[in-house]
Amino acid sequence: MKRYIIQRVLATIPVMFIVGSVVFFIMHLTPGDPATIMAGDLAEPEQIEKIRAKMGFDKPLITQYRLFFWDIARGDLRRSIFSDFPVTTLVKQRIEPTITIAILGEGLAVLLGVPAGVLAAWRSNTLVDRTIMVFAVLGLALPSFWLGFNLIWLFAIKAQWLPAVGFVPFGEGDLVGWARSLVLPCVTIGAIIAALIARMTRSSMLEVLREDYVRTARAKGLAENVVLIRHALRNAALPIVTIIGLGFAGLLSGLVITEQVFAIPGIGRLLVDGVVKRDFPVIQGVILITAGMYVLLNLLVDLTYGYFDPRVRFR
Amino acid sequence: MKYMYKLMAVGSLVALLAILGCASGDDEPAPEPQAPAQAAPAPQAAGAPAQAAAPAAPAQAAAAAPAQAQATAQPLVPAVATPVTRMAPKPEEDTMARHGGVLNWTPSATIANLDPIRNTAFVTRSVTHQFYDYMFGWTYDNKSAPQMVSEWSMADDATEYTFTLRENIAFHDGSPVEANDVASSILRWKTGVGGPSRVWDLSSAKDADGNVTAEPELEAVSASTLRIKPGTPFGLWVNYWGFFATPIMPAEAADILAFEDVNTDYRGSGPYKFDEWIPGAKVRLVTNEAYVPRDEAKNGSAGGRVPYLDAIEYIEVPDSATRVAALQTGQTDLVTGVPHDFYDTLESDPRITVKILKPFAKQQAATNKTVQPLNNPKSRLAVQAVTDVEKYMEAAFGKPELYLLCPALFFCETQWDSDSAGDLYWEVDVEKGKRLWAEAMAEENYDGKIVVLANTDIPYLYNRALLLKEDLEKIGAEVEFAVSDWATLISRKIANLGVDPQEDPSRGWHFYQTGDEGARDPVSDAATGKTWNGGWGNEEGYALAEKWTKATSYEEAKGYVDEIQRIYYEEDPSLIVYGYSSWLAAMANYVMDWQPHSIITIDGLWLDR
Repeated sequence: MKRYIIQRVLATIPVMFIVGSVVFFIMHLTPGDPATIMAGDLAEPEQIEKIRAKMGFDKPLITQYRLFFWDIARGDLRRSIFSDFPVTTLVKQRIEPTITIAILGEGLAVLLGVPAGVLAAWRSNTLVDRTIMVFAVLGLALPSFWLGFNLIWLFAIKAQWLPAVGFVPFGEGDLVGWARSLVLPCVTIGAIIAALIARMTRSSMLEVLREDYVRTARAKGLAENVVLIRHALRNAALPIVTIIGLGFAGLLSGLVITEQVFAIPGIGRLLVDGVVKRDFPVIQGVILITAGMYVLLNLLVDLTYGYFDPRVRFR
Repeated sequence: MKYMYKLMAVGSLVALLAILGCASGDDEPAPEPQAPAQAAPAPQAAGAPAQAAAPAAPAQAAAAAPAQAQATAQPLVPAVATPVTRMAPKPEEDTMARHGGVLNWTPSATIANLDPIRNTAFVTRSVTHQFYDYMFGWTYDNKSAPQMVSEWSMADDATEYTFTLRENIAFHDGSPVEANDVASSILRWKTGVGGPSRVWDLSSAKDADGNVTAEPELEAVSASTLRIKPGTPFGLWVNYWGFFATPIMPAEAADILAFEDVNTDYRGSGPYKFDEWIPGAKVRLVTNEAYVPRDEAKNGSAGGRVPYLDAIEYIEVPDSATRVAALQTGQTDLVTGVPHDFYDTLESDPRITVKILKPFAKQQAATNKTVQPLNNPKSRLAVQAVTDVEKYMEAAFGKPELYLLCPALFFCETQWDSDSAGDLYWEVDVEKGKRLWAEAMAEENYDGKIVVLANTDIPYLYNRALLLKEDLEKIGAEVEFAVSDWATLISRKIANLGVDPQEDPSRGWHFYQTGDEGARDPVSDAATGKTWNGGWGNEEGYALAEKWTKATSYEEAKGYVDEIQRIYYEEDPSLIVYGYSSWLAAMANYVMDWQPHSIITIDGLWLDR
């Protein structure tokens, strides 16, 4: 087990190298130059050149590439071209809302999606099943920005129950404000993942419920909830856990839109601002960090397989 | 399992009740229509995309120098100010009640950095104007007026200026503001793109080839006195200084900055102090209790700057619909740069006041005159002939009250408003356009595509680009419509200015849409200048602009403006002018004594919650 974890952690190094390389070259081959954006429409070419030189963009691409990885190797994600803040500082400032919404959104999705999926499978081909699946399809089909704007209109503007924008940090001590600021973004992001989980739970449960051991359990006279939860759901858990893990990783990217809609100062908005301004260090830093989180999440998901299915062995 | 059913049933009931509860909000009485927005004060500024540098632009008005020190410089042109709505002075006993509170202010764009020299975006200047102070302010009626200066004088031959600083002015760290701080700040300011570098250039001596032989000299005569000796007689320094304001920073901060450096030392001497910046999230400023305002009524960025608020929180909300929602839910107090699409929504909300700044920016199609066929003026005259200006402005800004149509090159409703050759601005003649276009194409022997750059991230520019494509096709052009975002567009147009689109349509270009808040006179207008996108290239126009700087009466100067405009429309349009856009701000009704201006200042604003 320990050896397996070490191997997987070491395997992240080439993954990060590849991600870093791809991001570096995509950024530098994409049209749009931060120096021209900073200098503005009216700038003279000489003025832009001075800024480019300061940013190091006058060096050959391969030299820039080498210097980029040298800095990464030293743990330096560089500084934002525009604000001059270290990228690590910017990420630290933004990590709390992103992680909070991701965890609570995912939690909400699991709480909604798993019971709904189990129920749909248990009552398959009935009105209950079809109703749940209609909502699941809607959840997958509705764009998160559409859902977000409508939730703002309904619960913030019309009902005035919840704030339309912003995030109250937990550390400010305003727990009610913190919770209120999280409801709409978490529902927006959680609805999509919940739909995904519900569909996966249903199909996985349907397969398991046809197995002989489920029939045996029922024949033994076990209560239906024991059959469903202890016997069926646990054996159906592997694909569900996988989709939850993938959903969490996808949720990190989904937050790009949700944070824009709800004006939450998180990692997603940092990335969007970076892209709009071609702030290369910010884009590279955020994507590397997100990729690292993605890899670690995958590792965690893999490790949970052993809990749900003791036959799984890590070598 | 029955528990699961119960759980689902209860959840559904709660959701249903919630929806019904919210829907009941619709039954509330419709909001009372709001009174028309208060008239905007003096026109100003440019509405180029937020990322674009603000071009130059002061009106050539005589600066308000103290009577005892006022010198008569050669080019003093009497100001013809537009009517302004001034804020009514409040009784003295009321003012204590105004102090306190935090203003939540939501801008139209994200702040890239807080260095107004390296980043001339309107949003950056809007924030930094609160914590910096300036030698001269810019009044509502477009004049320079002393701010940090107690008195000033200019030699009769406009070869020397002397400025004396006010007493009791200090940086936020407590150190006094001295003349050497001002000198260092000017040396950094003059590297600014657009107006500052143009003012510096105009006040530098040049040889016959146009090479600079003498730049202005700055000398701190004493701790409170600064002397400026232009390299050549130049009497407009003060006139331009109000609009292209120099943020005064400590000499030790300014001196270490090279052109390409971004300043991160935010010590100023303005009425508010920098407190915190979380990039992409918020900027927090707090009141500068040590600030001593001028003993005058506030007038634009001039006059008494009184910081009534405890703090200003400048909160970034990237999506425009969410910005409006934040105002409607009371999460923000002031939203500036509101998209015109939301005008009706906000106007109908009785809790909100909408203010319009108009004209805000000259809207136009930029042209690349360094390449065929646009190097031939007939091609641009052809596009001008087919252009229905009203159609373009309506597509971009909607309601007629949100834009202004007039042929003036240097801002409608200001002293340089002109009707010269205005019939050509209004004219829509497709046949004439076709004929001129065919002649230009034949003369230039051009049979390639016309490349129109368009950006989708600024909808009003994109709408106009679509119309331009349609009009070009009407006169016989084959159009390559290159769509990108604004950042890509700007990079492409700068990097490929001289690239022939006929040979390489993937790089070269002919047109893109833009706006200019600073095109206030023949010198500050980038379109008739010598450098932007290859320059206008009209020697007669350049000579008239030069004469304009030396005019000795308003009538004489106005004559040059009329003639420049005639040449522009009749012979050589540098760009295709559509008209002037407005700029919208919306605020909660308890936000008092604030009006939009080309230079946004929050001093004087107070909250009557």
